[in-house]
Amino acid sequence: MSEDRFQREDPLRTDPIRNFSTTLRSDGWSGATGPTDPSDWMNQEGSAAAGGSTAGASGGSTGGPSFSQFGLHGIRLGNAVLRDQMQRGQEFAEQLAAGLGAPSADLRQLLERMLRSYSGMYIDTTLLWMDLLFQLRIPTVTPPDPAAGVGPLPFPLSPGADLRRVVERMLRAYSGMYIDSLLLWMDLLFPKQQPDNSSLKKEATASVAVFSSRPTLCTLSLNPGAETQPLEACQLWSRDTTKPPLMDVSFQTGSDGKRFLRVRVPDDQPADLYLGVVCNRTTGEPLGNLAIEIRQP
Amino acid sequence: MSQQTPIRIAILGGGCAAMTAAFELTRPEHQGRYHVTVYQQGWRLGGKGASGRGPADRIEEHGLHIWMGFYENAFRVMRDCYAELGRDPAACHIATWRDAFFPASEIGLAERTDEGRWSSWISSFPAMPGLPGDPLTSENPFTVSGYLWRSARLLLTLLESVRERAAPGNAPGEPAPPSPLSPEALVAQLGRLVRYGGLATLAGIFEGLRALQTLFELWSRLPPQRGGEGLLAHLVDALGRSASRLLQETAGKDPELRRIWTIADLLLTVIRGSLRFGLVTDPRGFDAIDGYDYREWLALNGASRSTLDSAFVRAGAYNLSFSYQDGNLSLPRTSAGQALRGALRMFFTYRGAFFWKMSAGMGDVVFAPLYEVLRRRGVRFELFHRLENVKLADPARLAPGEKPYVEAVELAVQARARLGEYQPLIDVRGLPCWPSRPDFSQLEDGERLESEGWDLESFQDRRQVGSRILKVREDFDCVILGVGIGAIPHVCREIVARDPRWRQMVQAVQSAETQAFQLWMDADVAALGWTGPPGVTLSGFVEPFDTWADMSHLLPEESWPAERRPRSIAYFCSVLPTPAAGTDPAARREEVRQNAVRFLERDVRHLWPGAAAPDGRFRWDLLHPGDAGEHPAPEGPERFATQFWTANVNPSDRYTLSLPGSARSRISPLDNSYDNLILTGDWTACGLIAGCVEAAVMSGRLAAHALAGRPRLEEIVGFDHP
Repeated sequence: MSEDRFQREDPLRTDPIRNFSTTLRSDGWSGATGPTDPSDWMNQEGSAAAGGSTAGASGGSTGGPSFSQFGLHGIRLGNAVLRDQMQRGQEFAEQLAAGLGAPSADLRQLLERMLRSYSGMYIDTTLLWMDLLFQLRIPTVTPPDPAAGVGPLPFPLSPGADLRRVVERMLRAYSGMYIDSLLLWMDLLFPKQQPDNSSLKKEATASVAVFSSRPTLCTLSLNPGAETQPLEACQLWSRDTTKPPLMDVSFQTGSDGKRFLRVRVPDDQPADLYLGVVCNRTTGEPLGNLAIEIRQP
Repeated sequence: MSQQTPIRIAILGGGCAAMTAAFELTRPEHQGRYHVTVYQQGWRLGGKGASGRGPADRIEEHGLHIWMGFYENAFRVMRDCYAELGRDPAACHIATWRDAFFPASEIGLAERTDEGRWSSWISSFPAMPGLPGDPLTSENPFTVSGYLWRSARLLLTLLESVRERAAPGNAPGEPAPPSPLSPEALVAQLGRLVRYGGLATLAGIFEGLRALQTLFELWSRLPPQRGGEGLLAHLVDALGRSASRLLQETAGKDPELRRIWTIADLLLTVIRGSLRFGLVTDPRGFDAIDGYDYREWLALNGASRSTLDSAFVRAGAYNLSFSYQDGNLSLPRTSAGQALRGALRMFFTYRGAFFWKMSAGMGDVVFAPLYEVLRRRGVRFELFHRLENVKLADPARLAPGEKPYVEAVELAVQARARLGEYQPLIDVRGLPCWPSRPDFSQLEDGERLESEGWDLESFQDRRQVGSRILKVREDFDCVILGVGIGAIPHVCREIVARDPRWRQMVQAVQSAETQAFQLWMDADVAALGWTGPPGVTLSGFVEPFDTWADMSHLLPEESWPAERRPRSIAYFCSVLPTPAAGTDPAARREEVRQNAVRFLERDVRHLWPGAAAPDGRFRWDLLHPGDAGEHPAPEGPERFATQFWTANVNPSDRYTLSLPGSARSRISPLDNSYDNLILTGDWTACGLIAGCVEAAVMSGRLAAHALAGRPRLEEIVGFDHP
């Protein structure tokens, strides 16, 4: 009966976002600026510049948008968001320290919940934008132009890949980094007020093996239920994007059959805090966070 | 279905929400992808916003319609509509949206004094930057912390005005000037104030308020922190106690100071309640207190009895929105969450002017331009089509996994055009307008329909000349249901019977009947004894008509002979109590007439002392009799028959209420339970849970988004709102 009958797609959401996260939305939300709409974006010469991100992309002045245009814009936006959000995380934690005293465990949890809600909205919005682009029939999938000077994708991308899923993972990783950045900075600034990590330890089901010539602090946080799923650790990034990512991170199975996280820190890896996410290897669903702090010897 | 196949949309209803959906779906950007047909009973569009031209082209409205300065979506649509309409100013004096709407900032509240008399408090709201419908390019103004900051700022301004009024030129010490305090210093300052009784003095109150304002400002720029709420709540309590004592001592018998104190108390209560209930951080926003009645919630948070009974609360939250359950004046009920959301948006986010009045009837200014633009875009209008039933497909025939859907739409054909298409608009000195009555001469057998008194907008009048069934795939692909909530049980019987969500919706989302009358007077408002400014809109007055608007600006729009022109026009409206039994429209209309006559005889002299004869009775001769022909104008109360009045009792005419606890029962236009049926109307879950033009337009835009993905949700201003 359903053949040829008009049917709507299920909406991404039906309810308004009423929580505080809308405070984080700023310029361009009316559509007056910013290429958040595919047709608006297509109509811009030098589309990335129109969105206020770094310049250098070629505009889609003829034909439809190519993936390289879209991809470049997305990556630039993502990198900008990453830098900005990690910076914000640190700044906010420092403001808390300066003005309103150490946060309680409740406040920490509250912040985390609110921020995850915000990141969900951001991801949903971007995916909607992507879906709209797909409806415009993006013809081919080509890698971004490395000459444009943007950072590499944090995930492998090949033609034919499920682009939507990859972008979703990328976004979740970026959002997770902001949240983790904020929470870790709070923990660093308020060591005495740090929430009881026993809960995190209880949730984590993987042992961690760190190979490093320098003092290294590793924090693995896995969501409940992650222990039964195939896990994949993505490369870890510093908030300073000039530093190379920490690549050699993987889940492995030991001789006793138990899974563990293996981290190898190269000797020339700059000291810093590196953040990343743990995903389901098959579905790409984020299942936890990973933070590695490499200190000076 | 192919991406390129045109999608046929049947829009059922012609009110604000339905017309907005049509407008959005037929924007040129869609390149004709949506083929829209509007089915509407009777001869005109507008729903609750319909108006018509009667004798002497006088404007006859469904009720009083005034647009708020925060109606961002509604103004956006109208601005786009007028821009596309491109009227020639030389040919039509209402050519642009600025011709159509003008600022009206004089607001009045009526309240009864201790001596039992009525007095009016008139406020003129300042013009705010920008115009409604301008792009919002700055930071999102819609945050609870932002509202609290504005509340603190207003509180400070009010108290400064009290100080100035109580002791002109006598500064209360030297309060610390606002300074860019660090959060650390701010907290220390607040702690000092609270601990050491610093708030016992007026200077301390000001210092505390400035600190509060600064803290909210800081809060509005940072993600909120629950840790600060305890201190803030403590501060607000202390401020409230001190300010209350001080103001009550100062106010004495000064009514102006008492009014200011009422607002100050209300603001302190809102701030205190917002902190206590954690509204800044609650992911439900103001919906977290949807279960409370507004006055109940204010009382819970320490509002004084005088504030709860004040005109400010009564008029602002109840009278203007007809918020009386079943129309029962002893049952004022409105959701605290929506009342607060609406009040904060109304006072703190308006642009240009607080109110905007229309330069002609709402039908002329809103629905005629929409009709013209939509016609140009190719939208078809099937007038005289009364919706009878929205029929679902038999569940037994659904494929596995297939959602239920609308299989057919059953319509009664009330009349047929004699020659081609019915032309619904009339020309009033160059302005396309809707008539108050259908043009029977355009209808088949129109003379008979007219002589038999067919009422083509009455729910009770079921007469028809034929019937029509629209079938899915043959006549439509998707239905947008845009009738009023009161009509849903009648036209969606199957769905309501089958779907528990719909049953819950029609039970919880209630509506009220309303009444209105309009007077054309042979005296201007000054001669009537009104001492306030002309053009005022006043609420909080005595029932059965608590709201009055001076609409004399409409006189030039009507076609009165120069020598027999009225001097003023007055609109009155209120909720109409629902009788226990009997809904005969004629009887209800007679009830409204009697209410109006009684109101004029007994109450209106409190507003218009000049309208009372020496014996205190209403001077009926002040009513402009219109064109009585060769007959002498009626005298006494009979003269009221020459005026206009209406009982809005048809199911689709009922005003949508926002009863406590009902928000969760609303269904969103984005809901996809029936994948070819989209709901739209101010009764849907459209973000703004209120019976008003803006909610309807938001809902219409959401309905379009549900189909076309445009406008983007981010463009529907105020949808993502706490």
